[in-house]
Amino acid sequence: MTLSNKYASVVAAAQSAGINNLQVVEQDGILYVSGTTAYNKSKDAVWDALGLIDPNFSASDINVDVQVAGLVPGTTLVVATESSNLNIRREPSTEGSIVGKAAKGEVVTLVEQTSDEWWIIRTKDGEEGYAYARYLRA
Amino acid sequence: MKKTFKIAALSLLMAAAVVSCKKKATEPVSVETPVEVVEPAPVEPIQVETVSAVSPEVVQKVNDALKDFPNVKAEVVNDELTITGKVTPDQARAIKMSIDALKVGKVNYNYTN
Repeated sequence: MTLSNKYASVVAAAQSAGINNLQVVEQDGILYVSGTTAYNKSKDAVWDALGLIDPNFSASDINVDVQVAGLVPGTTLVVATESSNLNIRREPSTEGSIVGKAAKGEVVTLVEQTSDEWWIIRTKDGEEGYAYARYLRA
Repeated sequence: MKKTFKIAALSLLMAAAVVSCKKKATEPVSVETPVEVVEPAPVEPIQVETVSAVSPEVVQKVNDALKDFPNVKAEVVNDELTITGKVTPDQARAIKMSIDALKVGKVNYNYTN
């Protein structure tokens, strides 16, 4: 079975979700599925499809890189940590000093999507800095 | 005699005309139409650009991805990134989401549940 066949439902989910710039490439024994979307629910749909095949998310033969991108500055985001506060940092790194915190469920404002991993946000109290994008939902 | 000769001549004339028409009808008509042959552009396969798991920038990004999972460790063996530890499926999903985005090639997710 080729990797494209094995993960056909993941690719189908990406197509149904309207993932932009969708690329599906098999290279060196890994199926790379990549693209962008403006909606977290579309990104979730692709990962949900993978979860049906690989419930423990431990597969080494598929690489899924679907990024939420193209958000307009001023977009409101919800903090989606597991339970703890989200640290807001001076630099885009967990080594960066903490300049503020946002609680789970708190609504913050997007200032800039500086990279796939780190976005600049601002809280309602005016604290501004880098936050890990994995914990922000549009 | 004259009449017979006239009829024969007329028949000959008619036969010649028929042959001439048939010849004209069966002659192929050549139409010169310029045909331009365009070679299709070669399709280059898409290459996924991967990065080294040992580059300082990637090491920092891996550390950032695992910061919230103290029971999870990452190490590079034979140029392959290996993630080990005890995680829930939701945590594994979050980790793979971050690690896959780095495109470091093959990643071994060796979790214990």
